[in-house]
Amino acid sequence: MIEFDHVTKHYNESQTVLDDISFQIEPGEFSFLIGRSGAGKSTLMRLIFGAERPDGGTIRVAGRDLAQLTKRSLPFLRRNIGIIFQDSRLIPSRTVAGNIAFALQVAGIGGRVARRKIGEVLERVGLPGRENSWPAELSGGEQQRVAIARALVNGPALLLADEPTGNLDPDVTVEIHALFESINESGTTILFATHDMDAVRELRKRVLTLVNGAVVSDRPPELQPAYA
Amino acid sequence: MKLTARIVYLVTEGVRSLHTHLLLTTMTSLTIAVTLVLFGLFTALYHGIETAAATFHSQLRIVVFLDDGVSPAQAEALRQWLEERPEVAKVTFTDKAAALTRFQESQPEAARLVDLLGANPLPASFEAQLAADAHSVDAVKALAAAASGFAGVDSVRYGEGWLAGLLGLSRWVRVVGGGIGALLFAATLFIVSNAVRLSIYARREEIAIMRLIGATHGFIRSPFYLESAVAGVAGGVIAAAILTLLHRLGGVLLAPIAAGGGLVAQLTLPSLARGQVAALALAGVFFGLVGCWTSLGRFLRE
Repeated sequence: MIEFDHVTKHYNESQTVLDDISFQIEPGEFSFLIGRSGAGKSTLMRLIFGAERPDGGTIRVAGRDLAQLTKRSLPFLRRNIGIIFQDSRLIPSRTVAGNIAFALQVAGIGGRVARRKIGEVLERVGLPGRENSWPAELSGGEQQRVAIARALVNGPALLLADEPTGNLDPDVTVEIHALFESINESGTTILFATHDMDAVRELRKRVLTLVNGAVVSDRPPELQPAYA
Repeated sequence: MKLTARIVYLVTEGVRSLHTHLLLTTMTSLTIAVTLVLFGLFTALYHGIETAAATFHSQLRIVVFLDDGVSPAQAEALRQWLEERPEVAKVTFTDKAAALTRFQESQPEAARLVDLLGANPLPASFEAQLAADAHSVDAVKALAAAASGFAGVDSVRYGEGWLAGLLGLSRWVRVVGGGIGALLFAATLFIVSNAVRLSIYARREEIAIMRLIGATHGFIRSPFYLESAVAGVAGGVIAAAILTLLHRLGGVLLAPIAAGGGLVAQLTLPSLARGQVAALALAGVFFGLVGCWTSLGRFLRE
């Protein structure tokens, strides 16, 4: 699903953000991407959804070489990738349904089909019947669930989560982790960037460790220590 | 995306956006209105000056004074020559008696001096009204010089003192007016672009999210263009209303002065016809759309 082949990224001549990294993530896999602030996690994410271009190497997403993508075809790549950020990035002037409908409108889906899909995805993220709520009326955890719903509603094959629980309470964080796990169980590939080691130990998934822009460790799930 | 779905999205999203961002859209409309009013006032002033200049031009003439002893054949030859000249629009003959009558009517006190003379000193004359395109001082001078060469001609007058000044002023007004108009147009575009840019900047987060979820540039742009067009139409209509009000107010305030004729009578603000109101609305749409186009670009770049 994701393939990085000797990818390098600089921000200026003296600052290397990603240094010759190579890894593959298979369809249906759940992988953590861990590292301190400034390790390059967000830049790696941005490279996957085409917001940045690498300075060297090749990136393939769902078999497509991103270097071959034109600006016109970039939106169509992004419709197959759900993206969730630390701040939910909901549009405050739209209701919950309006925020999710946005993603459907972009894909040309409206009307009854859109309403049905919105209802289904809200059910899935644990917010049934909240279509007419406004973002300001929701808790942090609920807002993040709506952001996940918006990312999921078009049925993407890949979900990118950049520290989605960074602003949430521990008990809400556990709920969100469980939600991601259930999403993965239905076949969606997940790349989850975090520096929450509790989550890493709890979920026992594959872990890619970034230090100063290099992948220093790539540990499969079976080698994760049990969470005590 | 299907065309009908796209149109439905465009209209519903445009209406929702106008409702949600009513204050921003209103400010954009008012900005467009104010700049269009200024542009309209300048255009009206320029139009007034051009009309005044055209009126003076239409009064340009040369007067060929005839000797008292000019023969009918000589006078006729001169008349025919003048009428055939392309720079002459109309030739009017005033005989000595008509000249005296006109003098007595315009200068009744000075006319008593004529009575003392016992004879009519005023010459007959041909008055040649110049054509609209005969606005060159050299052309007028050449015509006067040629006319003065005819037998039976005493003298030729054409307002030598002020003609060059008037024609020069007209040219100067056109050049400067055109330059100011171009600057005002550019300033209007700049101001409206900034107003639209502020409106779009306030919604940069929304645009960023649209890009992340896979919206094409066209999908992102179209509601903004619709909003800008609506703001432009509203701005144009407001401008038309203000200009109409100013026309009426100007007519009331300037009426006592304009009654005396002259330049002020030419400089009144023309009333707006329906076509001009439509033109203002279209101008508002133009400025709104161009402002939107110049502003959206930076928010759509990665």
